This record gives sequence, structure tokens and C-alpha cells, in this order.
Amino acid sequence: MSSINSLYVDKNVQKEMKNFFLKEGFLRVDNFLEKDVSYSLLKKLEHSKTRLISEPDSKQLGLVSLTSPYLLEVGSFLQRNFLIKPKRLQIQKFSHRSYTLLKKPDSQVTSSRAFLFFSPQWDSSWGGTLNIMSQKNPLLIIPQQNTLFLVKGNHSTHFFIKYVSHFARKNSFFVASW
Amino acid sequence: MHAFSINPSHLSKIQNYSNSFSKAKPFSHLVLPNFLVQQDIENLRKTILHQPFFRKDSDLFSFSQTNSLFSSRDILIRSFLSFLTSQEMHAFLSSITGLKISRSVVDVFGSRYDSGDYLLCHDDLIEKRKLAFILYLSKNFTIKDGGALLLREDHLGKPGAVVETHIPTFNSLALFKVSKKSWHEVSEVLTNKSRYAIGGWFI
Repeated sequence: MSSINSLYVDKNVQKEMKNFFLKEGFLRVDNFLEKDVSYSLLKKLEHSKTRLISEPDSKQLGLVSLTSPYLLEVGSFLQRNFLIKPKRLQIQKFSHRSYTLLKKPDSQVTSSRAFLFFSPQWDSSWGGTLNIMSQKNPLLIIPQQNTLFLVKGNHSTHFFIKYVSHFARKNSFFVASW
Repeated sequence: MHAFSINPSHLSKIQNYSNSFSKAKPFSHLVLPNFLVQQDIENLRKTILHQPFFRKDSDLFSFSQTNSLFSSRDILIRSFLSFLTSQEMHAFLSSITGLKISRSVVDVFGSRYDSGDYLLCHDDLIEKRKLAFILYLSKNFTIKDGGALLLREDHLGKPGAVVETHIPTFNSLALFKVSKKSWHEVSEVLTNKSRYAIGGWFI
């Protein structure tokens, strides 16, 4: 049985998703994984070891190591449908004082990117939003549980995750990105 | 028009300030307490607090800012800008910093950091900036309130550890030499106080 929501396993739906992505350059998929799978992954992430990065350009940003067949399946799905390399998976934990800066143009990825959020509850006023700057309209994505966001990459696509303020208190969220 | 002037208590200490500025770690800087005479700073504070502030947001910062104060028609603000670019101020800053600065100021803005606002680490090194200044206008800020000016050492061309922390004390003037090593930031404001300041750069 697939860990991906059965709705998105349907070939016709996948075709629609690909067409939308190609036309618009981005795609947001809510409830991407089966609900029990997404919460099981969230629990695993919350109990996983986090390696804090203390450099100023990624203060309090945690890298999480987690091997999961569910995430491998997501990687295969992304490669099959959107040509996103599954080996690039990185999981980051964001809590108060976490952020990433806009990448410099010479280090921009030119392939498409995918972000899968694991977040029990999050308010956009706490920060932590994924900001995508591109030649088209800038996009702002709130980290919501089990939301997959895809963005087509090119030299003018830059992104960052906004600083998480003290309003987040002890809350945190995770982003699996490919 | 009322003329601003440096608090006279500073004028006899220029040599000490010069030594402190040049020897400061992690890079040349100095914080002068009680920089303006009391009535001047009180009036300036009232005027700046009544200016319109506009939200500024990016990956690096989140705070509110006035338009360039050079565009203001307010008499007190214009008087303050005349003071900043005066011969008196130029001589004072040149003597302390040893920098060949002109009497021009690139930009001068009012800033307001509310709870949750911050300015992440950067070096200020753009255009012709030589000397950065910040005049603090908020009262009763403590370390618990956040909003501190943090100075970081340079580590192989990147920001390293925090070496100095300066609380934004009312009527203090912070000065630092702008270079590729002048890594600094404003820590997040953690309480309901608003941190007001005037900042800019001499070229």
C-alpha cells in the first residue's frame, strides 16, 4: 500500500499535477501523504537526533537524519513525475532563531525543488515561511502539516526560510527538501 | 532654528576615545553614552517617534523604517541633519576614528524594532560607506528586552562568534568602521518594548 495519498497515485491526477506545474512553475499539494503516515513521520522526526548548526547564516538550524521507506517512496514519486533528484533529500528542523538566507546566484539550483512540511501547528506570524523569489510572482508558503510544495528551478529562482521569532515559543516544524 | 551640539563632556576625551576606537575588538568601534545634551535628545526622540514608519522585510531583516530623513521638512530633523554634517561633528568623528570621512552622510533613517523584529548578521559594506553610526532613542532597554547590537569576529571571511554586545541605551551613539570584517547584527526584540534609533553612514 502506498504511503502517498491515494488521490495522488491516480495517473490522471498525476497528469493534471504535471501540467499545472509545467504551466505555472509551482505546485502545492495538500494532504500529500496518507494522514497516518504523515503523523507517524512527524513523531519520528520529533524523536530523531538533531545536529545543530551554529554558524550565523544558519543559527539554531537543525539537521535531522532519518531513513524512512516513506520518504524513499516520495523521492521516487518526485523523480518519476517531476524529474527531481531523490538523493538530494535533506531534513531541517526550524524553531526559535532558525532561518536560512537567500542563496547567492552562483549557488542557485537550476533543477526543480520539492519541500514537504511536517508541522503539528504553525502560525505564519511566527516566521518560518518559505519565501520563493522568482521572475514571476514571489511566493510565500506557510509550513503546514503534510503539504508538499514544488517549484520549478532556474537561475532566477531563489528561496529562503524566514527567521523564526520568539512568538513560536517551543513550537517547531520540519522540512524535508529534495 | 535650534542648533544641536555634542555633549560638552565628550570634548575633553577625544584622545581616549581615539585609542578605544582603534583598539576595539572585534573591529574598530566605540559607544559614547549621553551623546547629546538631555533636552536635545528628548526633543529628537519625540519627533522621530511621530514620523511615519514603513515595514521592511527580507531574508535578512524584519523591522520598520522612516523614509530618508533628508527628505523630511521637519525643522528639528533638518537641524539634526545639519549638526551631523557640521564642521564640529566632522572634526570630532575624524579625530576619534582617524578615518578620512567627508561631511556627507549617505543615508540617515529612523528605525523601529517591535517585538519579534531583528536584523541578521551582515557587514554594511556597500557603496562608499566608511563609518556607521546609530543613535539610540529608546528608554529603559535591558539585555532581556533584546534589540542589542552584537559584534562578531571575522572567521575566514565569514561571521564568527559574538565578541561584543551593546544594549541600545538611550542617547548612546554607537560608531563602527565599515569593512569586510564589520560583522554585526541586531538581536531580536523579545518583549513588548519598541527599539527606536537613528542610523546612517558617513562616506
